[in-house]
Amino acid sequence: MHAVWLIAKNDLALRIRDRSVFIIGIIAPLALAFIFNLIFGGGISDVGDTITLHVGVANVDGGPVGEAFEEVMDSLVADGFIELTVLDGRAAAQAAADDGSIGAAIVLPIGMSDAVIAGQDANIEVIGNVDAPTTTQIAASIAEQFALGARTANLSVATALATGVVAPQDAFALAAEASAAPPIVTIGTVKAATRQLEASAFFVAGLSVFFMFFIAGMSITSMLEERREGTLSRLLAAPIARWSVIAGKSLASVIIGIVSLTVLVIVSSLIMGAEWGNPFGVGLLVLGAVLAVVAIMTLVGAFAKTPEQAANLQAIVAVTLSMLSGTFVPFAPGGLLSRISLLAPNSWFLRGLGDLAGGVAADALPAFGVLMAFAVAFGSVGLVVAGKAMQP
Amino acid sequence: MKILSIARVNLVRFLRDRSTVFFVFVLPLGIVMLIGAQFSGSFLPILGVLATDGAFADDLILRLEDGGGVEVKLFDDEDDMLLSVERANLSAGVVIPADLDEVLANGGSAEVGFMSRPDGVGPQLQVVVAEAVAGASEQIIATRFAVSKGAEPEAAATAAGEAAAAVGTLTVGRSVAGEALFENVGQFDIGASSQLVLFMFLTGLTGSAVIIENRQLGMTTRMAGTPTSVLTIVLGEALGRFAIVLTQGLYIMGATTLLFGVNWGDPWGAAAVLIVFSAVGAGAAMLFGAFFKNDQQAGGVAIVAAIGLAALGGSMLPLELFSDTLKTVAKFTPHAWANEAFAELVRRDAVVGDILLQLGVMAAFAVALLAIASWRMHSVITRA
Repeated sequence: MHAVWLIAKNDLALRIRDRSVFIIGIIAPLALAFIFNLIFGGGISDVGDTITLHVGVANVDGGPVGEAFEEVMDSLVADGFIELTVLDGRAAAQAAADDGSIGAAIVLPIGMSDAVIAGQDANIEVIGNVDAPTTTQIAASIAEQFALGARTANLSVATALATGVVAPQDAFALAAEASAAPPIVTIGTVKAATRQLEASAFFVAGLSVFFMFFIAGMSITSMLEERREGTLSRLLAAPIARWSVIAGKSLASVIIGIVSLTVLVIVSSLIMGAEWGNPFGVGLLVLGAVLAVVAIMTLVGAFAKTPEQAANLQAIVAVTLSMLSGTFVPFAPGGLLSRISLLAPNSWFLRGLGDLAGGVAADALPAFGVLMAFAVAFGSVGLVVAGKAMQP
Repeated sequence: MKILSIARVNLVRFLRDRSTVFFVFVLPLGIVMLIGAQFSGSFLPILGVLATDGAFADDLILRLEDGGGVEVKLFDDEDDMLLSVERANLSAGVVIPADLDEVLANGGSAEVGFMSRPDGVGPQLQVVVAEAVAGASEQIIATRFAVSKGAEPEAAATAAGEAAAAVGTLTVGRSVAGEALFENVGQFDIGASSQLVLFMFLTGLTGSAVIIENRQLGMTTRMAGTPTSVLTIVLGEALGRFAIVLTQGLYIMGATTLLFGVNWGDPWGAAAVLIVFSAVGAGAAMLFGAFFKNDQQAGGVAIVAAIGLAALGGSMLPLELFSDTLKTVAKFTPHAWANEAFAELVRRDAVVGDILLQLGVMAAFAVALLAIASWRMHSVITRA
């Protein structure tokens, strides 16, 4: 064990003297995360930000039905669902939807109230901006739901008339009664937690693992360098177990990895306001991610003959796994790509952090377990392959 | 002639490097494909529905699907659906109680559960669900009304069904207004041009490690020892970088056109952007090669600079979606001008004459970078 620690210590000292560890481990991920956060803000998907949809209403009806509609809109504004702009006519509605200053406009036509009361057809118009399909849908749903209310009252009266239980001359009075009937099915809301990392933490987390691959890769490349320079033979001539050389060098990578990830978590929460969740859970995930990444890089590097070859292979694996996890191009949630992405340890680190964001430390355990499985599987094979590769 | 042979050696070394195959030829296409895949799916919010068989549930699901505003995904486990909502795999979820038909048949009222996160469009989708519920309820409400007036339940239900088709209706008509931000854009178009710009610059910068290596190994000094002027060496290196960046650009342009049918607009315009931006990439590579001493450090900074500038220049999120401040910042990156030039060519059918401003600014970037780098290279070589 003592030999492992000595080798690790020596490697650490060497790597700290070479400033690239600081650039790759801390400055690079922070700088990129800062830029990504600046550009994407909260807008990578609909995660993290509450959204207000901007709807306009032009009420040229001037009757009681139009007024009732305005009341509905006011209550939606009070609930914080939408932001409302009052427009003074169809032309204004068209113009506002056209230039995108509102997402959608609802136009209540002239004579709508009269038509509804008389049981005739009338048309509410929803004009949506082409780039605001969701707002358009919500506006149309508000209008449809309102229209259905009016229609249901008419339908009730028509049904009563058809079954002959009421007289036609009472229809007008009955309409008021019918429209006051309570709904038979109501909607009860449940507020779900958000098990998703908010944008700034997502970028720091994704990018720090990406750069972690390169830090982790250095342990095996440094072994290959020692072999080329002949110092490896001297190391092997010493009375120490062969595996302790790789273990020592990997330990150095693990230590650097944990330190750099920890610094990143702390710095990003201080300067970028990133929220990471329960610190104990974050610690577990950091440990799991670093072990998994070091294990994978050791195995990959062990297939190489020269340090340059190892660095190339490792870079390819690092970029591929990071791409798969959505670090560079975030995936739409729920799709095929987001399922494929679970092949990459990066994704499990991100998923664990997401689960943690909406819960307690124990919520990080499943992802931690998967990361440890990656670490054990790749690490054990990696040790064997690297051990063989050590023959001078 | 010496300039050309120095350039040729650089290009050959670049093409022989085995990692080139992945980073230059495979990776860019992979990313363009991934971005394209993002555009192929629907952008509709996904609504989970937990339902057991039943007339009301079937009607409700049908209405949600026909509404066109959401994509419906059916679930049979409530916890599973809740977790999907929490993980943002779903925008919201609807729970239809199993005994709904029975409760309604007995004249009772029921509650449909709606779950959403506080963020995203989930809360607003409640309106969409409420519309579908109101639609599915109308005949039952009408039947009950008639029954309350003394009608036979079965006769009332039949009458409600018949009246539903005949009763005067307040309809909702929809129209679309405005000019789409990304009109005439193919699935892979935006990804291809933005990644073209990103990768040309990235390949240029990461290639700068070779310049540093040449200096470390003393190759540059040895060249200077032969009867070759320093200017020739610098120009040769720069031309080599230019050839490499241009190769990357030509490859992405050609491969995405063949594989994904990407439209690059006016060919002369596209060629002009490609050439001028190659000069920018070459200039940046020379700058890195001239100023850094350690190729590992240069590699780390190169990745950050290449990806960071590309992001700021609109290669990750289109410039049109930037805030006003950020749009101003973007103007300081050559990438923004290249992306803007491609936007003009591809989306607004511009020709070379329309993008002279963009080409001019990029050329200015290239000249400035090459001038600083050459001056520095000159002093580095002569000093050694």
